[in-house]
Amino acid sequence: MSRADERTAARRLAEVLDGAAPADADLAATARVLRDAAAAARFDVAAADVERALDRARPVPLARPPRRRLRVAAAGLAAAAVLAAVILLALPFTSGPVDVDVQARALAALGDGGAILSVAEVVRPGPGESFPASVRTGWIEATGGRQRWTQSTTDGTVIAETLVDRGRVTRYDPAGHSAVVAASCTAIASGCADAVDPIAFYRRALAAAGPLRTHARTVDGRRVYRVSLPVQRLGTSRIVQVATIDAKTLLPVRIAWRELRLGAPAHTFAVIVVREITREDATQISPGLLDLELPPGTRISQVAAPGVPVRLIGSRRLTLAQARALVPTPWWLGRAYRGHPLTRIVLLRYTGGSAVKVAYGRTTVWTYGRVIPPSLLGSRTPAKTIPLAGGVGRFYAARGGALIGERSIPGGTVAVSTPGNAAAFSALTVVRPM
Amino acid sequence: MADDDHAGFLRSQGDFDALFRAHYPEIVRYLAVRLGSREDAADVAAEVFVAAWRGVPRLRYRGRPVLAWLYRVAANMANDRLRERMRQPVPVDELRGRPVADATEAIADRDALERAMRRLPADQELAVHLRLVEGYSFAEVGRLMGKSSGACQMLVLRAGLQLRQSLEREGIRVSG
Repeated sequence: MSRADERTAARRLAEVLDGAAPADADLAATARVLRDAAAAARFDVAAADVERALDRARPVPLARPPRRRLRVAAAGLAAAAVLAAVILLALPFTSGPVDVDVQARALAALGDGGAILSVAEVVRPGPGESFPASVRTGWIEATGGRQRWTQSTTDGTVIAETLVDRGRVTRYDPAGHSAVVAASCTAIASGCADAVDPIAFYRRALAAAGPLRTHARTVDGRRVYRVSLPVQRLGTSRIVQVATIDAKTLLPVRIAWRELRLGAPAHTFAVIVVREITREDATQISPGLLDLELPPGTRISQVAAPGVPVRLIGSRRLTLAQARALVPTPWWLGRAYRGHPLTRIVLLRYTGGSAVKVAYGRTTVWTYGRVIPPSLLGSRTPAKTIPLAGGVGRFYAARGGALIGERSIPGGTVAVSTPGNAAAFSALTVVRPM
Repeated sequence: MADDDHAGFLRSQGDFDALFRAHYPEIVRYLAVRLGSREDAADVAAEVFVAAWRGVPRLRYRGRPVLAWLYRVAANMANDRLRERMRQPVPVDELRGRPVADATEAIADRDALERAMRRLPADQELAVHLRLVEGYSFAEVGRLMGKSSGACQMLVLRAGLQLRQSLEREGIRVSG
């Protein structure tokens, strides 16, 4: 395109953006993509948020002190410096409200590369969350390379056993007597998020945090430090761990997963109460502790991590009869779900496999085998593993922000994508073969 | 633009609160696209106003509103923040490859579009933001960017073509 042509095209596009009718389809497509991009970038900043930000940002007027007061101020500064030095010297011997840096000591308390952590923790729902509490016990290499977890209900029923060995994942589901073995976390929709322990997140967040100045306080008769550690950004929200650290052992005793959203109150979605955390010497532990031996007769599905990105090759709408004829049978929520009729059934063919998508309003049911539909790929937000009748449900946030609940079914996986947490849980309890 | 003339410019120089209230939302929106996060945008926007405020007394009126200065400071700070991020180690899970856009999924399309926006050169992105997100006329965009309106139209055209190419590379067909 010559410069003159480009100028003409730019002027015509400007006219289209001002409301004129597009002269051709190409111009209309360019205008549309620009409008879509702008629509995605347009959002309101609430007046209350502006005021809050203004309160924080407003510069403090600097009053120039009268000259004769300078000497007094200098003397004050010197006294403050002496006081600060005294506080610093006294730090190890005091428990008063003096801020100290806990980052390095808390990190050291978790041990170095040669240590294995033995952890027992209770995972409780935050306010308004619907999932039941569960207990996790496990072993983690301090470097985070290898982890072995057992997750149980509070009455002791084992619901999942997971081994993560430098990315390779084996997940055993005792209720279904089946296991998924994946060459890497990429092969599992939730990205192993349910296998990754909050302690591992805590360690990584601590290491990245730099100095963390805080002071000891007494909570339930125990001296603790409390720090907030950023873990992840997820769309418009930010996930932080609020860790309560024992002031004596410098080990975490409680970790709250909290979601911070601009203009909304902080939401705690899970609380991990660390019942026990001990450091063991790697050379002293029994060699089988970090292994997962599958019981004889376990049905094993091997999921290969795709070496190349999964691409959509094609899609085709199906009638209910056509969908029912597929093997394995797709799963659904019936002809309508929560007042939303079934609007479409689509067979999606990807490089390496296919998936069936069944849509009801904002709820979608996916049935897939070897290939995970890209829009279901998970972020590293902690997933929840919850016992369901006849199996285990795993819940995680997809990278696009939707909430996904998934469960293993014969020949594959069924996943339900929903707008909310509770909705994902209830949909996964009623999803069934067509 | 309230501070478009000389008198308005001087008023803006003397009233931090008014300047903040008038322009904070649009600076947050601009930064949200640049940084890919509204939280980061809100943090950086507040810093923009504080930094700009320190420099405002030295500003001389040259026919451009104070808002133009704010956008310049915001662009520089966004670049600093992005450079800072580049220096931070990328968590292992983010190296697994991007999710592939599924043309049937509106969410994936929107993500792809946001990624494509972030890949635009800064001047194209600013022109698109001012014209299409904030709704300034091309003449106003020109004044804010210190360019002719024709040059701004060219920036928007190139941005549109580049966005289309980025989407098509991800397998998303754009039709009019």
